[in-house]
Amino acid sequence: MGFWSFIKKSLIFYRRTNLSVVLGVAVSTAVLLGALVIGDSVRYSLRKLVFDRLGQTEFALQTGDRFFRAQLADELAEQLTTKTAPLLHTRGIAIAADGVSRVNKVQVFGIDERFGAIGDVAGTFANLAPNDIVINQRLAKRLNAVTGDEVLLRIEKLDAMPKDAPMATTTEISIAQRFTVAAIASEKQFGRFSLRTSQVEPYNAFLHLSTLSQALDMVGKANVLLVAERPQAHLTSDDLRSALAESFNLADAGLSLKSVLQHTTLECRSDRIFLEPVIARRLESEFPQAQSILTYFVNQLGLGRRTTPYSFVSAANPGKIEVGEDEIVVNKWLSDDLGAQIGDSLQLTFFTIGPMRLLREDTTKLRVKAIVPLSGPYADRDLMPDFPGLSDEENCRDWQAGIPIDYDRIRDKDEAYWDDHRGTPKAFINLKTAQKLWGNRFGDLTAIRFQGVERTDLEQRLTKLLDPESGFIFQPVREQGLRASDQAISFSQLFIGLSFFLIVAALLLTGLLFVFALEERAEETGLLRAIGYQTSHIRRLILSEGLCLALLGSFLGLVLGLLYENIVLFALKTIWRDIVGTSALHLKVNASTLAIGLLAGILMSIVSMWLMTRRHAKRSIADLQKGAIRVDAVSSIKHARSLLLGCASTAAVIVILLAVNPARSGAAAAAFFAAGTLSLVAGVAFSNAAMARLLKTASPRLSIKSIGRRNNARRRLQSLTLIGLLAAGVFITFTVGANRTGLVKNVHERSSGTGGFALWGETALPILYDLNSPAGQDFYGFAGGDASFVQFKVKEGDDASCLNLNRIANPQLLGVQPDELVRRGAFSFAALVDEVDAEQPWHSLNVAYENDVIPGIADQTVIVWGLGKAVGDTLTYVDEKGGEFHIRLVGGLANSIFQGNLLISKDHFIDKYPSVGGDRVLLVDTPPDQIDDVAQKLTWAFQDQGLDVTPTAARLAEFNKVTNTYLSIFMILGGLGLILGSIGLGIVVVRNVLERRGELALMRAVGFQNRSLRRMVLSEHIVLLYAGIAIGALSSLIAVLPSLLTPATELPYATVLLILAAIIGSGVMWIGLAAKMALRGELLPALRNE
Amino acid sequence: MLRLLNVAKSYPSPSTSDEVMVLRDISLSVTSGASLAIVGPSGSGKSTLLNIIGALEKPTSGVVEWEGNDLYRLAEHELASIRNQQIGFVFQLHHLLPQLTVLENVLIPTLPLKNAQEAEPRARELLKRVGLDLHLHHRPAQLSGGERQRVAVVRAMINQPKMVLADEPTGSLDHLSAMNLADILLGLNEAENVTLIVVTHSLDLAKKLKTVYALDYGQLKKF
Repeated sequence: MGFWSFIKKSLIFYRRTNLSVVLGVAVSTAVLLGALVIGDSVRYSLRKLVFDRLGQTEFALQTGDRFFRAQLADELAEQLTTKTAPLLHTRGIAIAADGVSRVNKVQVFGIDERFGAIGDVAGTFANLAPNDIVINQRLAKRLNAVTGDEVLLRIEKLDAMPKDAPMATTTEISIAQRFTVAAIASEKQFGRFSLRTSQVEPYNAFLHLSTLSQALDMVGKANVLLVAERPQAHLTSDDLRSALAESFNLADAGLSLKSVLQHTTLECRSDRIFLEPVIARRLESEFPQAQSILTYFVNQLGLGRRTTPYSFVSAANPGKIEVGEDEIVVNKWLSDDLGAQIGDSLQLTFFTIGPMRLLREDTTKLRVKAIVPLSGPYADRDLMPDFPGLSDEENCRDWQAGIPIDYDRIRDKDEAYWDDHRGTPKAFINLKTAQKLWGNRFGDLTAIRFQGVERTDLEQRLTKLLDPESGFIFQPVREQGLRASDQAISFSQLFIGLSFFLIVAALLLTGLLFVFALEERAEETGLLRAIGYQTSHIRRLILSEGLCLALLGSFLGLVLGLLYENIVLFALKTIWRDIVGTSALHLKVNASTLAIGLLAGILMSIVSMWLMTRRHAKRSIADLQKGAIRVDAVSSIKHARSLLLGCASTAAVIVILLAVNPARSGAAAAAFFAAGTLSLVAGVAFSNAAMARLLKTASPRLSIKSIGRRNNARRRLQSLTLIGLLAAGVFITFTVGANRTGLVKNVHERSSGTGGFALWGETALPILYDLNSPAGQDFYGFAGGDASFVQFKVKEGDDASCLNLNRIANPQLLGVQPDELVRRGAFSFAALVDEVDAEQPWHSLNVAYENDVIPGIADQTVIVWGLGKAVGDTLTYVDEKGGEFHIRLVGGLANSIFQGNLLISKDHFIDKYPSVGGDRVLLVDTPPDQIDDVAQKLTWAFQDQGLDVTPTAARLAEFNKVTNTYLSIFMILGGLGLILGSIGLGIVVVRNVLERRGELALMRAVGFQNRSLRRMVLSEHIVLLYAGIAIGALSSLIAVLPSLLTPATELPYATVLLILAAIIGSGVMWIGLAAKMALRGELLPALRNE
Repeated sequence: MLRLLNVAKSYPSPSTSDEVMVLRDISLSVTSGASLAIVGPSGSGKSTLLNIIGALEKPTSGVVEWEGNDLYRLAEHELASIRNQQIGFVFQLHHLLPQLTVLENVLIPTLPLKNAQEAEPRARELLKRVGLDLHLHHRPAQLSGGERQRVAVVRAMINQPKMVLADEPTGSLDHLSAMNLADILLGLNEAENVTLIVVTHSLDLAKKLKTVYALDYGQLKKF
């Protein structure tokens, strides 16, 4: 017989006791392994989602409001020898045939077969007829649409000219068209396609590229280009850069060359009307002889009482007349109309556009320098830019300009001029003057003319000057997506944390069961020591046996863990869906995770066994041989110390309760948590003192109950451990669980997470005007009453709120006028960098740091959890022109409605993204009694903009739901841990009863009935259960007092009571069962053994 | 071989701060191959004395010399080694491990030496000598009280100890089985020249040994 043979025989012989140890190990391993596999599964699912939403896409180019040739995709495909797909992307609103179901935030894509090829689902997107639409499953579900149904799609019109630019049209920013659902794309059919990193499925609508481009007047254009992976050789950013440089031409930059002045001159124009300043300066520098032109539409030219309405004035110098900065050259027609002579002072009236298309009518006076004929170079109608709604119209009365036009002022002679000369400028001014008057953030030139240059030669030279990387950056979307999923919230850590009590309870149970098994064999240990086994040898024996049990238990735990993981995964897809936001979760089991889980399970169990049994091998040989019952010693000093500790802690609790006002948030919460903890300490200390007293003093009246109570005192440390563990478990589970936040009632306070705003609105299509102005309200037909608005510009990015599991690098940017929030004193800050004025933190957004760094403010939870950053850190973004800039996080908002977004000042926003037109997020201030009315009016007025209005309190509650779900999980798993802990109580009962069988047999012998003995055993242990729960519950009650008194808190009373009842029920049941089992059979033989 | 010099042992009182003296000033010399009995009433300290002799329990004062060495100045592992290889124990209760067979129970002391295989023939031989050769693969539960105690005696002898300490070895046996066991112990004492110290209530058993001591109020006197 050898060492292992001995162990094997012991394992088999004590199989029943060992089985319970194996089960204990299995539970702890299962919970741990389950948590690890959940982490793997979530990570795997997020990775899978990257492929589901991107297909074979490896790189993507998104140019937003800049449009390149769709043909560029083919050219790149040829150069890179891989698949590419051009897409036209815009936003839209989908309305079901019944007109009732409506989805506002729909991603509308113009696609063709090339898109299907990248998604590996050619069939779904092939042969789409002009009125066909493919929608994804989520959209179909929301619209309740099936194949063959009709869907009305309102699509945001795309325009190369930025919507905030002067003369941009604002009346037709969307078009509506009916389509027939040709197919519903599942996630396997590329229905999830999205370039945003999120596990939440978007609402997608796919039209044929030609259909959408025709509808949007963007034929041959695209604003998204997908590049698929290249199987034969890995694609790099450099490959894409060089390929793009090779194919990039003027059209891709939105530029074109037009032959003017009888083909003697070439004119470079921009689709955006105003040449971008960077390009303009580059061309001016490269071609110093070129003629820069700025032509503008003025409302009126006046001299005295005589006026000429709506005319073009150009800063060109066709006749080479030197025009001073305060001078103007007028044509004969204008001179006649106004009766102007050389030297007269003409007044020019024109609109300039401020933020939110705020029109300002300015005037300037210029002296007539010369009068020129309306012929030759002065009859150049090409000087008029292609202002939409103007240049194409046959009649002046058909003008649809982006400014208000008083058609009554247009005279017959003006119509005649338009008929004969179109927009030929009636006057010419100095370029500097023109730029000063009409230059704007979109540019200060409308054209540049080149003389004596060959078109081909000029095209080549101009193309060379263009930097394709200016706004044309291919993003490695797959790599970014995979990185975001790899760095996503670790559900392994999360669930290990949430299951902490369950794991600890299972380990304690394992340890207890193991000790119990050993104590049953105390004599064996005694014998081994007596016959010369060293302590280390015995410990090795014990731990080897433990190791075998741990191995068996861990393997069983592996099976249970997978079962547990399946249950949790199911819960995450259903009742806990709030925290993952998707049901696309798949089970993934990695061999390495299993190995880690198994090893960790074994290690934890062994450590637990070692901790619980380390004294066993050292016990007195004589005691072990006799199986002697240990009585924990207690000294008077220790007794007094316990009393003192209990009294001091109680006094501190009373002081805190009297001194701190629980209604004050922040400091009060911390103080009351400390009070709760002290109360816990006091409870355990008093229990210790009470038991010590019981042991030292005889009962005045001997009764079966007093004997029971004294039995608890006999194993004081064990009893105290039980009370302490139960109390701590109840305390932490309920204190943490009670921090759930529900619908807040202090929403009207400016300092709350709503900022005191009543409504949060988001539109699919931009709002171009200031809704606080009568003009803005009038434009949208909204009568807002007392409502006022704060409007935000939006640069779409990834959602960095707790609703996104991925680690986000670039959250959505919101541009706000900080003064609007300063004026209202809205929102509270959880963290600020040192240099920010704590009194007026919003002002810090106006600061501009050096090195292209601008300040930003985000929700503190976003900073910490969504971005993995801290206040003071910076994020890197790419601006509209492809340049990198940095946003320094200068403040973290306390739990607010801005979760998921990063706020910067509107000025910085416009500087970085000048093309982003209008605002798409608004906060609404309105008296509480008008909220519903205002919400209804807004929804009605902005239905074509696809406005979604949510009460701010509901939005905040939506975010809180995630936290609440986590807390619920913690409470449920903690409750399960406590229930498991109550099984431990049952084990203690069995152990105590078996240890005292002789004593109990004696009581039987002297006439006690078995029932009385059971009652005694029950009562003595139930006291421990009740004491633990009472101390924990009372301490928890003190700790959560501020939350109880805060209206923001929605205490889960039902859950708390249910868990408490389950713990008590389970505890009583296990104690009862254990007592029954231990007292079963004949007790009297135990006397003989004694 | 074994010498006790002024050995005393006291325990703290569970109810007072006083000490309870169990053994007082005990001196004793035991030569190799001797057999002696220690008798005395319950609570007289017989088992405590045996435990002290057997390196199981440290005396409060005095010296226990084992083959010229102060026993309790030795390290724990040295004491364990002495208990394992030089001293054999027989207790009132047999303390057989229920999960093992008779043969395996006997071989347990050989495990720390890792010589179970070499010791097996001796175990079989000893078991045959005590009449248990037909019960080698029985479990303790399948044996009578006397048989179990005989297994315990063989277990004590397996490592060829120099001394066997028996604490009330017949205490749980009927008279016939008790005398039978006494004969086995004495037979082994003579055959293996092993020193035998027996603590017992039974004068019949005590008289079978060469020397008898009585322990009275903690003091050892020749009977």
